[in-house]
Amino acid sequence: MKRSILVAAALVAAPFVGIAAYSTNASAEVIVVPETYVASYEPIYYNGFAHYLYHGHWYYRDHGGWHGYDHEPAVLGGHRGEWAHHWHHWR
Amino acid sequence: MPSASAAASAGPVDAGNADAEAAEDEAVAEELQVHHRHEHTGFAGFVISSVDTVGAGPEQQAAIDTFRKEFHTKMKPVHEANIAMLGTLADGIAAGTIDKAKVDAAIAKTAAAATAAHPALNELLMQLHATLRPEQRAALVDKVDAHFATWREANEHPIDPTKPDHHVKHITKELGLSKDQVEKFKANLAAEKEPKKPFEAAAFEAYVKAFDTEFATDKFDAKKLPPAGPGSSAIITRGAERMAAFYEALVPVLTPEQRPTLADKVRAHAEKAEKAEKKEKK
Repeated sequence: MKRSILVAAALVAAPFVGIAAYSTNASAEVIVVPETYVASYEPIYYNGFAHYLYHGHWYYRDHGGWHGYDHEPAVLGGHRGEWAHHWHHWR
Repeated sequence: MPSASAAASAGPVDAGNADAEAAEDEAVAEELQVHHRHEHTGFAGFVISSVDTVGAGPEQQAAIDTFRKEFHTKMKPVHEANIAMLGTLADGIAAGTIDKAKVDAAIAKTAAAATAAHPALNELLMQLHATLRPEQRAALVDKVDAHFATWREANEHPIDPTKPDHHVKHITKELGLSKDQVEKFKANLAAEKEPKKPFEAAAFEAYVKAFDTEFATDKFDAKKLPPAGPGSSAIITRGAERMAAFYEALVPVLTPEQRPTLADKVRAHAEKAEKAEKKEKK
């Protein structure tokens, strides 16, 4: 099933909040990558962007909005197993 | 390259996964908010916390280590003042009465230290910029913004006892507060214990915005940034006053056994900061 995403341009004013609207479905999914998560995890750098594995999916920020993938890039998939170690504990 | 304009395939999420994800979000938020309620070192604190998670390649590690050492040397007066402030607070908690005048003096020292250290911070930012790759600079900017946003969430507004609060929840769990104690604590918070004057964020927001724009470019010149000293000093004062008000509201409801436990926990925050500083200087 092809899923396309519309990343709202308005997100420039609301960093760390991504809205994905699926054209094949009447319902829209709101994706929020919290600031606390961005601050606490060490990202994986791929294709010129910092990527975060959030709720099972990879996201990166570009032009003020969050973007993801239809198909997980193999490079990123290879980092899934180690991701828990990317959480920096503050206490 | 895989299609990058499309969203990740977020299929149906089962209830177990949703609960686990919500629990993870909560744990991450609680830990970082508690950090920002005890670490009052202003913009410098946001920068070094961001460096902690920006991720450095092996070829950058030596330069990042040098940056950290210099950072901790030049920011030492700010860190020491923050540690002393936490110590003053812990002494008051253990004694059952927080000496507000002493705490206010300690807060003023921390804010003054941050203002005085700012020119040195500018030099360090130039050094950091030269070390990082463009994508790391962009990530660092996101992280600084994220720390500021979390700091605001944790410190900007007085605690509203009618709404869930990460720090209240955390301290309830840590000290094993009874329901009655929590109610009395919340009543104290509501009774004008918190600083009520609004936080003047405009100067600091302008600084952070300028930093975001400039740091992401190839030619970053920290000297072109607007002055941040007063803004950074203001957020230190605001955060520390709020932290002090939180404990001032809490101490009267604690049992004699709980007071030293809490004092030890506040000292542990200070000791952690001290240990991190010593480690960096080695």
